[in-house]
This record gives sequence, structure tokens and C-alpha cells, in this order.
Amino acid sequence: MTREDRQFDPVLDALSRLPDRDVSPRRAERLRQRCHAHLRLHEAPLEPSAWIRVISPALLGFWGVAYFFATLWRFAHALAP
Amino acid sequence: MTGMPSEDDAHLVERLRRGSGEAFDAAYERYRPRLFSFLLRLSRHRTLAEDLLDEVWLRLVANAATLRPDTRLGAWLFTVARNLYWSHRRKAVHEVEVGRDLLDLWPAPESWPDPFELAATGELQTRIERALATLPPHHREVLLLVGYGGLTPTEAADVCGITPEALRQRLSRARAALGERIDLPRDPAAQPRRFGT
Repeated sequence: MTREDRQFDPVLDALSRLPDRDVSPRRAERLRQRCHAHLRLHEAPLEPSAWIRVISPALLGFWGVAYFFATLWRFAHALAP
Repeated sequence: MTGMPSEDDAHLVERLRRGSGEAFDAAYERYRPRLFSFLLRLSRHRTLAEDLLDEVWLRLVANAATLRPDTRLGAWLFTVARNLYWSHRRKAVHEVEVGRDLLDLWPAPESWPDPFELAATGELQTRIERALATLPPHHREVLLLVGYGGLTPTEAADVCGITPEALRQRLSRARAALGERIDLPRDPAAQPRRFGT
């Protein structure tokens, strides 16, 4: 249905002009809070913490590099006369 | 209002799917008054309309993650509201006991329109509110969905679970019945209107 249909139809035009009704502000806010609580309950898993995202890979990388150089050092010593 | 899925609506749905509280607030502010008005005029019972409105929004947040990206939010909300109303109505034993014919003929109860009458800004609005209340619920619902809610007949047909052609017929009859009750000038064509999509 187009806007023109409504414009030229007195019944539909009158219906479209009916005022909005609403619940009380207190009730609206209470429902909003309930819905937010529901959303939080079902929200996506939290972002990984800084520990998981940055620190643990850095430590793991540091340990790997150190182990690599230690291995090289021991290998060099083993070859040395 | 809900004729086409607006960019805003598509964006809202996308954010709702990710559980955004801000998206919920935006949808809540945009659609709450319309949904409540629809339920209030459909049910003619403020407490029931308030309870059903709660349930509509709780259903939205419960299903937000599974909404399809192309969901037309307005139509989705009206569908849930409408289905909840009819589900309640089927369960309401006292309403079942009242014959359909009697309901059709029943004038609006004296005590019913006070929330409307108090706030109605004009005589025509008051007459429409009263006349709507005397229509059978199937007629009320299509008039409210298309006339007040701004849905297209095709969308309203989806909401009501009927074919677009059946919706157009029902809308024509409902429109004629309401027009008679509020004593508006008849259509120039003097025939039940055929509504396009």
C-alpha cells in the first residue's frame, strides 16, 4: 500500500493519525532492565583477557627463543675441541 | 513505518544479533509505543496489553542471536505481538464462552475507553477508537496492522498467516465496517476498496 492509498482513504488516513499509547516510564524502564539482563546472560563469550592475548604468547615466544639459543650454545660447546 | 526494511532496521538487526544493548534500546524506543498501542487496541485491556508487551520484548532478546540478517524488525515484532494475543485469547476460557456473534454485536463497554477518551485529541479519534472496539478482532487486527502500524498488506498477510488476497478481502470488509461506524463519507467508487501491495 502506498502513501497515496492512505492519503485518499479517509478510514486508513484516520487510523494512521491515531495517537501512540505507551506504558508508564517506570514500567518501560523495568522491562528494559529485564531485557538487558537477558542480553547479558546470553551475550557472546567475553573477549580473551590481556594475559591470554599478549602475555602468555610473549612468554612462550621468549622461552622458545631462549631454548633455541641454549641448544645452539650446547651444540657449539659439544663441537668445540 | 514498517513498510520496507530500512537501513536502520537492517543495522539494528545486525547489532541485535551480536547482543548489543544499545541496539536493543534503539529498537525498544522506536517500536514500543506502536506495539503497545497495537496490543491495547487489539485486546482492549490495558493490563493484558502490558503483559503481552513484556513478552514480546523478552522473546526478542531470547531470539536476538538467531534473527536472520534480512529480518524486518517491525513486522517480526508485530507478528510476535499478534500471535501472543491470539494465543492468550484461545486460552481465555471466558472469552470462548462468549459467542462470536455476540462479540461482533457488542457495543464498546462504557468503562473501556477511558484511557483513550482521556487522551484523544479530537472527536474523530474518539469515534475511531470507539468504533474499532466494536469490530471483531480479525477486523481490528488488519486495520491496526495496515492503517495504524503502517505495514503493507503483504507484510500484514505474513503477520496474520493468511494469503495477501485473503488479507485484502478482510481489509476491505474491515474498512467498510469501520467507515460505517464512524460515519465517514463512502469511497467514491462505492465499492469495497481493493488494496494493492
